[in-house]
Amino acid sequence: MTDKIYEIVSRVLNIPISQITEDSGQEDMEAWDSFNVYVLLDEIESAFNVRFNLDETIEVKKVSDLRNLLKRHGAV
Amino acid sequence: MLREQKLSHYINKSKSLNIEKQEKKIRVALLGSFTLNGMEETLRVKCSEIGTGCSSYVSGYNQYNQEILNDDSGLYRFQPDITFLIIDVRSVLGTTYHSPYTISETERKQIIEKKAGEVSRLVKTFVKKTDSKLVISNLQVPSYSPYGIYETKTSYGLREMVLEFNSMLNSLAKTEESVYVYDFDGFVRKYGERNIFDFRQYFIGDIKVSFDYIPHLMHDWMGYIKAALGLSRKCIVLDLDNTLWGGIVGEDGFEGIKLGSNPSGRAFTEFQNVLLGLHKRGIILAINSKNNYDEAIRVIKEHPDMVLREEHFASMRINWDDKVLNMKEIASELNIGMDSLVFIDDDPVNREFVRINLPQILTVEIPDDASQYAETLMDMNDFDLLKITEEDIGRGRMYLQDRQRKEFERSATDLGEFLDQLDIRLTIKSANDFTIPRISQLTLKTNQFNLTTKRYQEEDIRKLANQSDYWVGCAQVEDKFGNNGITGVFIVKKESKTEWLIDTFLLSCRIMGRKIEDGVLGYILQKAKESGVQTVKGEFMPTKRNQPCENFLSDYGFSKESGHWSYSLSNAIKIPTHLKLSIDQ
Repeated sequence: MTDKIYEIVSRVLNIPISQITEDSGQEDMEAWDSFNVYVLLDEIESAFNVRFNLDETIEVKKVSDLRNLLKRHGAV
Repeated sequence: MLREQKLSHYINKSKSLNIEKQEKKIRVALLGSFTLNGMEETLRVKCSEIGTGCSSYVSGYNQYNQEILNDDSGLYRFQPDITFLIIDVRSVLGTTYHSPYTISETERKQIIEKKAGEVSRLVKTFVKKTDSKLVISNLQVPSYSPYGIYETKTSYGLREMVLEFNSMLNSLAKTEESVYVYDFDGFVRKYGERNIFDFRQYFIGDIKVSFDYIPHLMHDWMGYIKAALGLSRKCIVLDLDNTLWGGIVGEDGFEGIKLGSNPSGRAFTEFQNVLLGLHKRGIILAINSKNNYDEAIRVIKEHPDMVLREEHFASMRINWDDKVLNMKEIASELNIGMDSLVFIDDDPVNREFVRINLPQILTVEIPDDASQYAETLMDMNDFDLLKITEEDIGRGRMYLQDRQRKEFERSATDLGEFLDQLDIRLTIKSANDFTIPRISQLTLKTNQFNLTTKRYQEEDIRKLANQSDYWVGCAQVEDKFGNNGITGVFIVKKESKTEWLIDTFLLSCRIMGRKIEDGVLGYILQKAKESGVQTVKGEFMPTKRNQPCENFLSDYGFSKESGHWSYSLSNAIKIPTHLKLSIDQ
């Protein structure tokens, strides 16, 4: 089974799922820009039915940050 | 509520569009006082869904003033067809937004006058510098006031300030032909302030329309784009059972169907009322239903709770034939293209059947729940027109007259006799403030009897009408059954003292088959001859739709010479004798 986070990142940023790792993020993905990251967060929130606070939102720089946040909210 | 895709769907899809391949094109500019990311992507995808290649331009963040004031700005170099300007209430009011009551009522009035004056000057500058249409969003009336419950007792309070600003925008749009006000406040009322304005997104990136609602906003804006492209739909074809009323008349009987004052009946009554409202402003209604004619027509004629009656339907196909066949007959009876039709049927199988066979028809994905029918119809942006003319409002009556005319035609023994007895009065009118909106509308909408299918916006027609080397006119047709209004348009280019070229010649499909075209063309030729012209040239530019006028020029007597059709004015000029021609300058 493919990882749900990867699936969403792949769909929202339009990147093949095979290219996504825990370290993927603003450093190595062009599509991960200052706007798209918020679109991505918005979709992650709907998909996992959570809501991050403002500071958490700003923290997210790569996929592993997303996973940690979701863990903190008990969503994964 | 309108079902929409997520914003990311549009952002992704916009990357793989091929706008060159699309038949129609439009250039759209977006200007705003906050972050507009995601909007152009959504518009480009929505345009491609209606076969239109959309090129877009987005101004720099909060750069709308400079873009409009500077002659050489990216905006003007882009040459948009349509420009959307959205400024928000926080930017306009500044500190007054949070603290309106630290200043006096007089000062609050002065602020609104000053701000509205600034925007008005900006809009007028824009209008002077470009031919683009401008759609300016009004301001959202804030739900919060520091005065709380006392707000509505306050003279010229925060909400009144914003309402006053909005009303000044409306006045501007009434005087500036190419300016439209988008009711952003209405949009926020519809979907809710707390949904549209997400504080977190605002803090993060000055995003003032939240991601989930950008597609809804763009859906509304597409109404302007569709109207500007002439893609507005003209006719709604309706099923009967479980669409106009609840239940199946063939099984439940006249008394058993749901309509009227019980809860499930009210859903259908509401739907019919919305349809009636559209009909009264010019949308044609028709029926395509599998039913026993006698049973169904009895409901339409006699059921006490029916809102729509026989007189509201321009065409009725109530039979056991297949729906695609019926649809073709309806289009041909009403003489309108499939791409003018909208089909509403509760049965997904019927919908799929029509969608596959007649993809040009807009088949609406109506929800299973009848309580959502009315709002589904109200959410559609396919009936929007940039201008609603007298002809639009009177269209329903005209189609009724058409039905009477057809019955009369069947009773007449031959065509000549029929045309004579119709008592047709053809009035040629020049382009003026009253006729220009309709002339433009006809060039944008007419597909069948249209020699060159050149599309002209109102501003274009106004320009041509003022040029001495162009002659723009139109034709109004009346007969014993009523007035068809302005239903023909011609544009002639006076290329030289001896040669004129017919740039545009079109007739509304409503009046085809009565030799009106020969009357209008004859008049053009007569006028040319009086002006000393020797030859009038014409062109037929074939499209998928304009076969009805393919042989018009040759049938009249034009001959083909070096790529053009031409008519030497030494020949006789024929004007059919059954037409009473008059000129109204």
